[in-house]
Amino acid sequence: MKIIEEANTEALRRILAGDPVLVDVVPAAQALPGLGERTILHAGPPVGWERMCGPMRGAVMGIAVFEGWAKDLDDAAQQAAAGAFVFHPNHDFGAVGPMTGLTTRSQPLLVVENKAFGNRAYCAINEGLGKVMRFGGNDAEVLGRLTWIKDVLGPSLGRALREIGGIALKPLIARGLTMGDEMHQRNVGCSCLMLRQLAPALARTAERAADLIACLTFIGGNDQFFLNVGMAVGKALTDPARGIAGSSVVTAMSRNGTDFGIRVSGTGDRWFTAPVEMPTGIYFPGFSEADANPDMGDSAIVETIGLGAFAMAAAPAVVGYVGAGRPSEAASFTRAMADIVVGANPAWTIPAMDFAGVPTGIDIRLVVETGLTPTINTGIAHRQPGVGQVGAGIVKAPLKCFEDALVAFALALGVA
Amino acid sequence: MTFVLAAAGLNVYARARSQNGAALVAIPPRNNNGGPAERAEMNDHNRNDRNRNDEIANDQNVRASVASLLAAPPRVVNVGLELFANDLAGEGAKVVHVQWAPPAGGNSYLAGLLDKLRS
Repeated sequence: MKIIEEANTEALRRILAGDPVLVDVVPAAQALPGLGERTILHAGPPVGWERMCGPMRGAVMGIAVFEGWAKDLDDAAQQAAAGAFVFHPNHDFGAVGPMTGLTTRSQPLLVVENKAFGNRAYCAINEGLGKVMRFGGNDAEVLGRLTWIKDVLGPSLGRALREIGGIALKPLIARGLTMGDEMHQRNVGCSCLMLRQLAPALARTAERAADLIACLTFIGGNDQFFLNVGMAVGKALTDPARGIAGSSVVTAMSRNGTDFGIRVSGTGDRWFTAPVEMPTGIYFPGFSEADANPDMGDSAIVETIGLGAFAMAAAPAVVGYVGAGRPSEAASFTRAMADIVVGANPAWTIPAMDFAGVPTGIDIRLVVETGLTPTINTGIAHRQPGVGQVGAGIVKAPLKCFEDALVAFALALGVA
Repeated sequence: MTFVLAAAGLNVYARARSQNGAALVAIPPRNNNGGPAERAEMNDHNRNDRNRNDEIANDQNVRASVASLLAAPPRVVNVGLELFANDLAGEGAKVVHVQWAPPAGGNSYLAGLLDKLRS
């Protein structure tokens, strides 16, 4: 239908025209005025305490103590069960968060502004690897790190970014693709490029030498530092493509550990959900699939803009890390995803595929027609609260989300 | 699929007993006698009236084609289930796999919606 083709062309144009810049780091209460006391934003489509998975509950308990809303983890759990906290998806507030993805008032948020359209997107700063809150960790070590991020790292990054006028992220990501990154499970190249741009500004704006050393050490030791920046880029690029009448392009994919949800441009902010699937992957020593929690995180926003598993051909090293086969098979993932999108991104190209652009603009019609659902690279959390990451793998988006979306989309166009 | 292969000039047999109609056997005709005669051969129920000599000639072409098919190693285009292609390759046959599945996984309602959204 002509209306669909024109709408999809416009949706793709908006995504590709985006100009994301990391401009600041500010407290969530300042960035998100509607984020009140006892309000907890989470990854994925809407979910209440009673349906939350183990790591999500663990993170909720920990963040309640961090914010001073509960005296300890047990008190936090009791309050949550009694309905003392209000839960909303990050997406409803212009934010995203990896894995459990909790966002609350006191946390410093990365601010990515899409200069082409004027919208902003937000994400908390990446905590590092292993036992961290985004994987359900909630002990004193986890809370202590969050406090340091709030008091030292966040304000330091904010001063540095304001001093240099921000960091342009589109060319940085383009460079990262040539360095073996796919911006979901492999971010070491982009993290290094960011540190190279931030370090002089951090040095010039540091208030204490000890804080400067701690910040540089933390960023330099975190291979996944750029993940959260890339996620905010995804949100910043897709938000202008929301709500285009007649467009079948996906504007969000997200999981809360219980449900997988997608949003489609032509059906606005309505979620189409289905039970999440279990990732298949490789586990850290001492852990196995029996310990794993099903898929979670807003990080599928990265695949929504053509990166992550969609750009696997740029990152053959990640294929082994997520247990997806041989490095020589990396390009097959990207080629497969090219069958379910409306176009490619000429700004983000993959050298190993003769600089073909990453497949961009997932079309629900193509997903349903072919039965080929998006592949997502992901970390794997322990199913129990308080443990943390146990592995990494790949997971498929549930077909039912796209089928339900297609029916609603057809109804909206008056053809069903 | 049957008509696509026939239009390309191949003799197509859709009556393989063992597959109960689930498989097609397509072989190149020895002489290209034009489309309608070969296509009419495919369907017992729609046999057209034609010249007896043409019938005999066509029948001989078919037999020769079948004979050549059986004498030569098989060259296979496998459409759909990749398992079949893997088994054939494992036996040393030349096989090309074409990835194909019914639109919308065979769900006629969704396939119908897709058709409407395409029109």
